[in-house]
Amino acid sequence: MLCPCEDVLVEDVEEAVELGYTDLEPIKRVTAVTTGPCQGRWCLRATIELLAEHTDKTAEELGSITHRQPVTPVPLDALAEARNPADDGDE
Amino acid sequence: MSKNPYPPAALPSLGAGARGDDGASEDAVTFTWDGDQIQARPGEPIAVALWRAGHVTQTRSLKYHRPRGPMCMTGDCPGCLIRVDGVPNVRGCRTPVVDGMDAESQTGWPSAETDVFSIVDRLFERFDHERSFVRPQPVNQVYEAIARRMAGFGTQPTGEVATSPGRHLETDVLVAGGGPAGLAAARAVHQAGREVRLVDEDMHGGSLSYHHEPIEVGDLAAADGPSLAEDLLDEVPDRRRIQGAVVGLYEDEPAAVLAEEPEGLAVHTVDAETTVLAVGGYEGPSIVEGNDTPGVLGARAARILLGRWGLEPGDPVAVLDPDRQGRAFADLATERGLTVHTLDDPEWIEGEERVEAVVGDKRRVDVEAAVIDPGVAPSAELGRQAGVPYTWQDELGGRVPLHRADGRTPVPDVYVAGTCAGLPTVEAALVQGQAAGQRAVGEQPQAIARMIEAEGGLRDEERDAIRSVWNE
Repeated sequence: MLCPCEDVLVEDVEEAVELGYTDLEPIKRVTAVTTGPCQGRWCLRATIELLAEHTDKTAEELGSITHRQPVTPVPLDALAEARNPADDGDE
Repeated sequence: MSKNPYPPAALPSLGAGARGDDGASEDAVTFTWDGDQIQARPGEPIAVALWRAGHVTQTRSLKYHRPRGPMCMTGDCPGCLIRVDGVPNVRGCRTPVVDGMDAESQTGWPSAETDVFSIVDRLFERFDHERSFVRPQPVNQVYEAIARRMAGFGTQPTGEVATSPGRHLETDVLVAGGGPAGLAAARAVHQAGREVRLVDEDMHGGSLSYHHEPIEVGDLAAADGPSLAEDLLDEVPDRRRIQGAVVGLYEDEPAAVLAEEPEGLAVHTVDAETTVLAVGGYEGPSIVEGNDTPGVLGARAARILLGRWGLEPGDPVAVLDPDRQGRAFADLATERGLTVHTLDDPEWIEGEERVEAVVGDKRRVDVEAAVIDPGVAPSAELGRQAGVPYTWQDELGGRVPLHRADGRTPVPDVYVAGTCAGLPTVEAALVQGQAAGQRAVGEQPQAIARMIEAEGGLRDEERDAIRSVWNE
């Protein structure tokens, strides 16, 4: 098991590589690896290592996925109650 | 008073363990799990209390409906996502038990522990859900309807997550993460008479909270990690701490911080002159058959379970291909009287609902838990958002930020320190954190590289790797 969030097996990634997907972003879209609740925290490094092993790219060349804000889920209510920084600070 | 003064946060549930300390009573607290009464120790996370009570399977996987249990104990894996007081996707390992809480499994029918849908895993060795039952159309419609009910992460909330108004804060230095590096940085800033905001969701010293060896680095010394964490926290005033997490860094905009305020979760914006990232890192899977069986957990997670919460993951317990974290766990477990089997060349892990045995090194050993040790990979989310360049270093756990020994990165006013900078030991993290804090307020710490190399406990290959990243 490579990605316990989305139930992606090592074989799923290997098969995707055989189909011609050898970059991280396409692999992510084809297999759903790194797209579950953990957002790659658990599986990203292992996925890069697996791809480095099965493609002619190095881990360095494979790069990484884009880590967008927010890095943890934020309730919309809390976001709605956030203060506009353009207002005066209260401290 | 309502049964739950701190409403269960959804995924960003913050503050494991923190609430127990200021609780008035040391008595056991009681909560329900799928209708059963469970006793917990005050302050301990739900996932720990469930494991203690024998409920290692706490959820089911998305597709195959395999049983899953906690694997990371740091809120970074899907092994303990549960429903609490009507709110789905609460991280059980990061959410302290509150008396009277109503916790339920959110996947599997009728429950995560006995799930009829687990038949999927028996019927299909591998199941490609995107390309199965596509035609004919009527079959696809039935399949889609069933699949949508079976998959997913819980159902709509019936409970509410309390929120409160955010504030805009200005400070000299924002420190993200309160492990050894973050605490040392925050202390250095405060000692220099400058204003710091320390953000951590736990406020128990990160990896110090389960570190059982004496620590002595420079002017920092303590009998063990928890005492050092206490000493360091004492030097950062309460009003300078934010229980929460930095959730976003933006170019030329204030940082976004999700904070657990007494009235509920709030999003604060923080304008800081300098930001020190000390956000640690993540374990991950070791690629071995059976690695998602309940009772398989990361070595750091096992140290947290045993060292911080006093819970034996299993006895006997197997440690598979141990490195730094795995050996530290094996030492602690042996000291606590557990039978530890170390396998250097594990082949597979056996067990359906719980680890039963491990096979490797030409033997088969019956065990109750299996500890894997993939090492800790630096957390890169915030660094990447800040524009810090990263490079791959096998020896340091994967992608690490380019930086100098004192934490400066190519991005002005963004510093990194500790595990998130690739440093694998508490000692090295303390030195670098302190240096980053001093630098952040304009002091000139001297000879940091030499001090980390002398006191950091690095191996030769780690030292060489870190030198190449230091970009001096």
